[in-house]
Order: sequence, then C-alpha cells, then structure tokens
Amino acid sequence: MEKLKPKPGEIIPWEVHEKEYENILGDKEILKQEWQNLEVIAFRFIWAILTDF
Amino acid sequence: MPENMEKVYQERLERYKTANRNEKPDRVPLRPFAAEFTSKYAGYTAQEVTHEYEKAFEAVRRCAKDFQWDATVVNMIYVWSGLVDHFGQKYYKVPGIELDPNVGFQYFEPADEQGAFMKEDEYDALIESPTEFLANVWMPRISKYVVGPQDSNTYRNNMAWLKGGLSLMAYGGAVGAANEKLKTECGTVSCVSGPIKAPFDILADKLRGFRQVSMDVYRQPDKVQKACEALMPYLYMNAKVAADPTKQVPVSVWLHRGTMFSKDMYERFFWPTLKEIIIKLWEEDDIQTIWYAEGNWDKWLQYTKELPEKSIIYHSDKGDIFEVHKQVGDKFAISGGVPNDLLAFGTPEEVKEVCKKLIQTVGKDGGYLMDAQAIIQSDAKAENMKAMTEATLEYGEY
Repeated sequence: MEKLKPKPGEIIPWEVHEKEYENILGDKEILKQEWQNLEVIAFRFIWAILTDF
Repeated sequence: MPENMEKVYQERLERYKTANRNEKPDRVPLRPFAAEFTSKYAGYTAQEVTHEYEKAFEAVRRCAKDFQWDATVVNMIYVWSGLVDHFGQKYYKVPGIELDPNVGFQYFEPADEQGAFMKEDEYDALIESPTEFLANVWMPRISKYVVGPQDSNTYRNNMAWLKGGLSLMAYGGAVGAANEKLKTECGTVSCVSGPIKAPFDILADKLRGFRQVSMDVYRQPDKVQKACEALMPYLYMNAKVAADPTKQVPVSVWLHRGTMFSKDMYERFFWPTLKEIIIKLWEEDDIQTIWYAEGNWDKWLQYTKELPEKSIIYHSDKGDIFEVHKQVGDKFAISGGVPNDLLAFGTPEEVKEVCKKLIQTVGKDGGYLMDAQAIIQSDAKAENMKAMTEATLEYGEY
C-alpha cells in the first residue's frame, strides 16, 4: 500500500488531495486553506488519542 | 461577569504569569493539580466525574471557590471515559465498568510482546510515517472497534471513527466553556493547555510498553533512537496546536520513564528529543512548559539546567525541592513540595508548617507556586487543603 507520509499537522497532504480534482475552475488557494484548516484538527484527533486518552 | 470577579481573575492571572516567569508576584499563587479530591469534596463518585465531564468541571469549580485557588486544571481527571466508550480503547479500566464506581480510572500497559500495541519488528514502519502507523496499525490494536486496511471494513469501525472524532470535538468545546465558567464564577485561571510527552515515554507507555522497550534499547538501540527522532516533530506539533493561542498559560509535559534508565541511555534516548520540543515551543512559539517531574528527577537536574531560562516551570514530586531550588531556582520557577501523604494523614498544623517552610525558602525571592508533590487524589483531607490555602494567604505575600 502506498504511503502518504503526512507531515506534522496533516493527515492527507494537500498535494495528494490536489491531484484528486479533475479540474479547478476557481481559486485553488481557497480550497487549500480550508483543506489544511481541518487537517490540523484531524491530526490532533489521531495524536490526542495517543497522548491524552 | 461581575466587575469584582473580573478584577479577581486579572489579579490571579498576573500573579500566575509572574510566578511562572520566575519573578516575584504580589503573593505566592495557589495552583493545585487536583483530581479525585475534587469529586469527593463535591460529593460525586469517580464514575460520575470520569463519565460525566460537566460534573467534573463543576467539582473543580466548587473547590476553586471554597479553597480560593488562583489557578488550577479545569479537569484533572483527564480521561473522559465517554470517548473511551465510543472509540473503544482497550487499555483503560473505567470506574463503574471494570472498577468500583469510587476508584479512579487505571491504565493497563501491555506486559509482554504478544500484548504490545507495536511489535518489535515495526520500528521501521513507525519511523517511515508515524501518523499512518498510528491510524493503520496502532489504533486497530488499541480499539475494540477499529480495523486495519488489511481487514474487511465494518460498520462498527466506521462509527468508531465518527464517534471518536465527534467526542473529541464535543469535549474540546465543553472544556472551553468550562474554562470560561472557572473564570467568571470563581475568578480562577485555567492553568494549563496542551500536552507534551517525551518521545521515549510514548514508546514506553503506549506503543511498545516498558518491559519491551527496556529490551529494545539493548537489542535495537539505533531503531529506538530513530523512532524518538521521528516522533519528535509530531509531538511538538501536537503540543503546539493544543496550546493556549493567547500564550498566557503553559503546556505541560508529564515525565514518566526517564529516571528508570542509565545516564548513557537518558542522554541517548530520552533527553535530546524532549529537549528539542521544549526549546522549539519556547523559542519559536513563546510557550512555556510545566516540567511535571513525576517521581524523583533530581539525578537529571544537570540536563534540565540546559533548557533556556524561564522556558519551564519545574514541578517537583518526590525529588528534594530544596535541592531543585538550589540548582535551578535561578533559571526556572518551581512548584510543588507539599507531600500528598501529609495532605491525607497529617494535621492542618503540620500542613501549614510545611507550606510556610516552602514559601520562606523555595519561594523567598518569588518564582514559586504552591501545590502538592503529586496530583491530589481522594485521600486528601479537606481541612488539610484548607490549611494549604490559609498558609499561602498568611505567609505568601511579598
């Protein structure tokens, strides 16, 4: 299985997700920003289970 | 918030921040880390406060008001067993389920290779991609419901991820509201934000288990070292994203296994990556760390001294707090020192004497925060907690 190797603060790197769009007609940065905002929260879930719970 | 409560809160916040910076506030701050003591005092069972977090928050508020705490942890019963129930962690024994409703939750660490949540030949996979390892390998082993990518998917797996995520969101929101209530109803500062764990402690506590990692440091030391290095940036980011965005209160590191190894091993496996996390948080993010030295960490004071001035608040548990003060008191604030057995079995007069001595020695030039040696459990007597407050108010003014 191919590894995504997410960096700290992400779980599915934007670079991986970006390739999943067939086309982006508008502003790519809007999509990227929203994607990464939730990535941090999801990252925190995975690592909070390890460190807090 | 009533105007006078806002004033009380601002005074306490300033007192807390000043002492944390190893400076002299108007008075020694009272900053107890209290767990099941709060629930017993408020009349709740351990099951109630572990499973119903609003009761845990309320119990802390009762104590904060009655004992005039300047700062405290909004809920020191840190494992909400609701999340454990939804996500299905196997490593906890929970009051009211496996344990008597009046016994605090317990962590059960795997005692052998068969039970280890990470196997001895899986270091490379962890090092290559830590987050994927946790999600794909570790979580299916620690959860009753989660399955790995090699397994057939199940409804319970999907729902565990959904409910686990929602649980953490719900709990995080409730903690935010409880911090606000602690402020507006009690004038008390919520004293700590994100968690740090030393990379080596994560290996020993949650991944391999202590017995297994004790053999790994001899059998595959390079991999243990590389694993600590691989975990470091993730644990740093985990602390950073959970830290107080206003940077007014510190994060905390709960120190576990570093005292159980030799100097060589401490230098190689434990210290370098933990040191880097604390320094990055301080120098890049302006975030202090409470160095919660569980057990006796005096033998490693020479290393702790290497940290930048004011970067930590050194909490002394079983160590000699007077020696800690002598060695690192010029660089860091210090907290703790009131023996938990004294709070449980001593008299108010004895508690007051100990507090007075701590204030007049460790706290004589500022930079001291009043607290017990370890997290305060249900055995502490209310009259002794009251004596700790009275002594701080009586002797703690500068």
